[in-house]
Amino acid sequence: MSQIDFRRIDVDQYDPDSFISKEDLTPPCKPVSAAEQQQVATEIRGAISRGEAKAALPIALDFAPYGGDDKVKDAHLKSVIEVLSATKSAEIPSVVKALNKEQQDVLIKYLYKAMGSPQGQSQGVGAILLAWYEKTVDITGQGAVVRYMSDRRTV
Amino acid sequence: MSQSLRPYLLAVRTSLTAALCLEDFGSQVAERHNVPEVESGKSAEALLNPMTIARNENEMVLIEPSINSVRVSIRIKQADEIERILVHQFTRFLTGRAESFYILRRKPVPGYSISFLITNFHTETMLKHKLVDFIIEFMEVVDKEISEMKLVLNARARFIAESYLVAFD
Repeated sequence: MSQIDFRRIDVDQYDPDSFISKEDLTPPCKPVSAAEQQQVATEIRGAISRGEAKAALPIALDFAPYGGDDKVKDAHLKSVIEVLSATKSAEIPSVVKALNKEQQDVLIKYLYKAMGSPQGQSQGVGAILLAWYEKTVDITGQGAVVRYMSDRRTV
Repeated sequence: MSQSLRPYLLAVRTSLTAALCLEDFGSQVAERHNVPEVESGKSAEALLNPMTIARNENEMVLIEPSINSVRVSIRIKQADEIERILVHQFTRFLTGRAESFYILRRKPVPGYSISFLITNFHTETMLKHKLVDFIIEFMEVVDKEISEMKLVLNARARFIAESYLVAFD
C-alpha cells in the first residue's frame, strides 16, 4: 500500500543522461588545505595588528579558497570579516579603488557570503558590511553583482 | 529615512536590479511546460547564486535569481510578541489577496515573513524599475506600518482598560 503514490515519484531524477548535478557545474579548482588557510590567516592577523588593514585586504582576497571545503571557507570568511571591520569607514573608497577587478569581484562575493552567514549578522557587523557593499558597488557598478550571481566558484 | 536603513535598501535595490534580467525559458524536464525555474529547481544549470542582504539577524532579504524568475523573500523586523502577531496578521491579509498583487507568492519561504515571485512574464508586462521601486517601497512602508499599528494597539488597550476600570473608581 505504501507504493500507491507511485504517480508522484519523479522518474526523471533516475535518468542518468538528463541530470546535471551542482558538482558538474563547478569548474575544477585547486584544493585548499586548512594549513594553508591558517598560514594566510596569521599573516592577515599580523597585518591588522600592525595597523595595516589596507595591506591585509588584497592578501585575503587573493587567497580565495574556491577548492576548499566548508570549514576552510568559513575560517577564511572569518579573517575577511576581521579585515573589513578593522578598516576605517572613511578609507573604504580608496581601499576598494586600489584593488584590481578580480579582487573587487571576490570582495563582493565575500560581502554577500558574510551577510548570509550568522557571523556577519551579529550586532554591528551588518552595518559595516552594508557600508562596504555600498561603496564597493559605487566603484564596480552592477557588473560585479552579476558576476557574483553567475560564478559557480563560490567562496 | 533613518541613517542605517538607507544602505540596506540601496543594497537590495542594486541586487534586485542585477537579478531582474529575465528571459523566456521553457522547462527542460517536461515538454511544453513553462515553469519558474527557481520554484521547480529541477535544472541546476538554470539557477544562479542566491543573495542574502542582512541588516541584522532579524531583518534580511533573500533574493534567489534564476534564468526566468526571481524569488524575493523578506524577513520583517519582529522584536517582540506583539510585533510577531501583527506581522503574521499583516502578511496573512496580503497573501490572502495574492491574486490582485500579481507578484506576491501565496506562501513565504521558510524563515521569512513574505515572498514575492517575479517571472519573465511580469517583467514583460510591467516596467522593471517600477517593480524594483515597489519592493523597496514595500520594505520601507511595512516597518512604519507595523510600528504604527503597535502604537495604536497599545493606545487602544490603555483607553479600554481605563474606561472599564472607571466603574471601580
